[in-house]
Parts: sequence; structure tokens; C-alpha cells
Amino acid sequence: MDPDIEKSSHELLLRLAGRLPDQLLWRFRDWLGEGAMGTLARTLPRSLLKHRIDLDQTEYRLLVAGLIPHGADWHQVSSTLGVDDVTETRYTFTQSAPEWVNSVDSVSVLIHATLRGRPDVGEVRQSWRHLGVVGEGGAKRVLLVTALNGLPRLTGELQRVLRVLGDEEPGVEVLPPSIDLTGYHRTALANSELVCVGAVDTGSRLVAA
Amino acid sequence: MVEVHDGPPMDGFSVPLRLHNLLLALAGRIDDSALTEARELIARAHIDEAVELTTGTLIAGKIPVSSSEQRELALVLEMSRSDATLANDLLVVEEDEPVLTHRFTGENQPEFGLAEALDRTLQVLPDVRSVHAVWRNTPAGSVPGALPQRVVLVEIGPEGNPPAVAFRVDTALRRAGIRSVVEVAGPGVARSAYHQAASSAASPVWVTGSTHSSDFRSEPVTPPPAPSPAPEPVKEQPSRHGLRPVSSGAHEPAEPIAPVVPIVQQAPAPATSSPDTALPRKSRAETRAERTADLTPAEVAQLRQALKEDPEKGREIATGKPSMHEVVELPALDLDDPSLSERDRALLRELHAELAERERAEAAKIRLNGASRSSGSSWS
Repeated sequence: MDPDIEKSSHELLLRLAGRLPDQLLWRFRDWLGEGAMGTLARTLPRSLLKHRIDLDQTEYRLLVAGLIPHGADWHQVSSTLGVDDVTETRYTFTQSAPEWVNSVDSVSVLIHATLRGRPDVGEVRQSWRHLGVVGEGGAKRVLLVTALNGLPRLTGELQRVLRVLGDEEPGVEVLPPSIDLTGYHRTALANSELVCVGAVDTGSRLVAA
Repeated sequence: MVEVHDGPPMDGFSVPLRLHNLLLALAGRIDDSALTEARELIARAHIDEAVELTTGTLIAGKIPVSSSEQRELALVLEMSRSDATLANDLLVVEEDEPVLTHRFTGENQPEFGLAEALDRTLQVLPDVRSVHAVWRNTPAGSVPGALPQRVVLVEIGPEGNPPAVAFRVDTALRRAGIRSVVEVAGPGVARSAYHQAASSAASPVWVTGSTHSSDFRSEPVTPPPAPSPAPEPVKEQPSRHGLRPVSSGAHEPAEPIAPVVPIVQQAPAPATSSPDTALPRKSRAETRAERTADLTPAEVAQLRQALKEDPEKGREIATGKPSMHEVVELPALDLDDPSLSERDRALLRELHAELAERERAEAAKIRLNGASRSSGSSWS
């Protein structure tokens, strides 16, 4: 796969975090990780339209760059470009785990065991996402990983691990070192805790540990 | 590999049902989340999204499908105005690829809490015949979820809508915090090896009542639904279907759905009079025989007659032993029985004609294939 196309699609799916429903987002990211670009091209634009998710100009360019070469319908793609500002995410984030995560957080332990010292991986952090008021309703784990290469594949791999551990719609955000972070990711990072560090010394860490 | 064109041809099915049947054939091969989401999308009339999700999951996971499954997916994609060329990206293999096997167990109470969670749902949804549950200990699809996975097997009659039932049952279980994947089989659809394996280990959650039943047990029953030689005597329990407002005044009021109904119910003693046969047809309580997907009300009337004439044989029919299912010899047509209404007699005639037709079809199939398929067999 053309690395630019892959990068564009990955960045687009990153920017859709908190906007596209979780159950669609993780699935599209899985398909990207598996290189099923034709499938993504035929389904993602329509999903955006059906869920009334408008893209800003940057996101629109990413969609065009990533999916038009793989057969996305031009009319559908064109209709995704919105005019109004993208509405901010409804979520809030907290650093501490909710009460239902017992004293041994086996997911964290497993992520630590898998990613600690791993090539191409920088910081691995996690945050807890809440819809509305913290404490009311469920909290969802969001994994925030910086990586240099193979971002879609690493996303898919971590998603599979989290699913086996019981998170049906895993929230895995694998961020390239230089990216214009969305409000969703900025807030999540600001309220995250360090899980482990890979082999890459990111130098300028996303969040002061 | 499951052949989706096994059993009755799909041509007579509506697009949602065709996709539902495809999903049944794909159970155990794609992940349970995809199955559940696709079924919800079908129930919500988003067929295009459902078939795209299904096809995309197969493509991305490089999950092999047969050429007939590919054709069927392409057809459903086209009929739901999706891009049918998506099906070209599917990994198609020869029909005789080794079948993925799953391990199921009925131990550790897979049925625990289900009856309570489904109480309201089973009262409302029409024509649900039975609910069974089993644990699956093996992963499904390329992005499997946590194990063990509870598989809930629901069997419905012709009045039920499979995708709608799948969605509603799943919703009720989710609301109760019970994670599961719900498989709903309507009449006339082939059962895959996956479902046969699941049902052979499944524990009953809820089964429609019996004419001569039933002693609801307050504790879940763990053994698989194998017929037992000496079941406990059971008291009568009217079925939900028997309580529909057709001259059912003589019946007891509906009782709440009990956690578990014994699968095997005692046939009546031969000498005992069978008051049910004199009751209006609609108000009769149902037998477990209705759990077999193909039984119509007419067949139940015939079964009741069979029970009256030969309790042992009737019970065997009612318990639907897989080995016996394909050719069941019902008692001779006795239209002179005074306890039968004119309508019952007409239905009996129809039933016998239909059975004769099935036997002919079955014989023809055996001649063609060299062996009989189990497409009509029940899940349990």
C-alpha cells in the first residue's frame, strides 16, 4: 500500500475519534490495519454521510487522498465536506481508573508487557473517557500511543488485544510524532497516565510525565 | 464450509431474511460483534450497512467463503443498493475446505439469569418456541472478543421475524449486563454444523409449554436437553401462544415465564383422558414438538393425536431426537375421531399431504446426494 495513502487514512480515522460511533471507528481502523482499502473506500464515505459527520477541509483532503485512489464514490466524498466548524467532542477525560477496575488492572499490565521497549513505539498512556458528568454512566479506557511506523497495523493489533480482554469497541489512538492534535486527543492526553515507554525516545513527550 | 444454498432455496426469502440466513451460516466464522451489529442493522432496516459490515469483515479478516456465499453476498449488496463489486474482494475457496470447528460446553450454567432477563421480551415477541444457551470456548473471526462467549439459541415459528427477534433478545440481555451472541432460527432454514454443535451442548432457558406439562424448576437445569427415560411428572402449563385471545376462557391465566422448563415432559398415561384435544385449537397448550422449526399448528394437532394414540411414540416425536427427525412416522390419519373439530380434520389432511410431499422430497434428495442432509433438523 502507498504509505501516503495509508497515512492519510490513518490520520483521518484519528481525527474522527469521538465523532464517529466507537463501534464503527474501531472496525474501520481494523480494516485499514488489514489493508482492506477497497472496502474502506466503499463504506467510509457513506457512513460519514449517514451519521451526518461533516469533515473540515483538512479532513476532506485526507479522505480524498486516502480513498479516491481506491474507488471511493466521488459524489459521496464530495458531500462530506462541511462548511460549519466541527463541533467539539461531548466527552470528558479523567486520569484515574473508575471503581470497577479492580486493584490489578490486567489490561494495563498486558499492554505494558507487550509494548515496553518495543521498536517504533514511544509513550504509551491511558485515559478514561466519560460521557457527560464524571461518575454518571460508564467510563471507557482510551489508549494513547505514539509510534513512528506501522501505525494502522499497531492500532489493529492493540484493538484485537483489548477485544480479547473484553473491550468490544476498543479506543486505541496511535499517534504519529508530528500531528496537529484534535481537541479530543489533547484533552485525553492532558488527563492521562503513563503505562510504559517503547524503544523510541520521543524526546519531546506528548505530556510531561 | 457452510453452503448457504443447502436446504430450501433462498429465492423465496426477502432481502433481510436472506442476509439473516447468510449471517447464520457465517456464525462462528466472523466475530460476534459483527454478527450482532449486522442483525441490529437488519432489524433497523439498514440492510445496506448490514451487508457492507458483513462483507467488509470477511474481506479484511481474509475469511474464506464459498462461491455460493459470495454470490449471495453480491446479490444482497446489489439488492440493498450497495456496491456489489465489493464481493469481488472476498476470499473464495473450494467448497470442501475443512470446516472450522468450535468447542461448546453446557457446564457452568450458560443459562443463568437469562430467563429473568428475557421475561418481558418473551412475553411480547410472537411465536418464540425455545431459548437455549451454551458457552463457546473458541474464538470466532479475525477480531474475536472475550472468551468464553455465551451463545443464545432461539427458535421461532413462522410468525416470528428472525432479525427482529435476534435484535430484541440481544438488547434485553445487554440491558441486563449479559454478554452474548444471539442466533435465531426460523422455520425452513438450514442449520450449520456450528449451530448443531452448539445445540448439542446447550442448556434450556425457556421452552414453550406442553399439553401435558409442566413442572417448572426454580433452579436452572444444567444437563443438555437429552431425553431422559423417566422424567418427573409435570403439571400443566399453558403456553404463551395458547393464551392468544381465541376462545381461551377455559384456560388458566398466564403465568410468568419460569426460568427453565424441563425439555422432556411426561407423556400422559394411555388411559388418561386427554381434555386438551377437545379444546379449541388456538387455546391448546403447546408441546415441545413445536420447538422443531417446521411444525405448524396443524402438525401440533396431529402430534397431539399421536400422543393420545401412542404416548411413547408421541413423546419421541415431541422430543425431536435428531436421529428420528428426518423421517417421522405419524400415526394413521384418523378423521373419525369425535374429539376432532372439522377444522382439525382439514388441518390433519393438509398435514398428511405435506408430510407425504416431504418424504418424497427427502427421498429424492437422498437419491441425488447419496446421503440425507440435516437441513431440517432442529437446534436441539
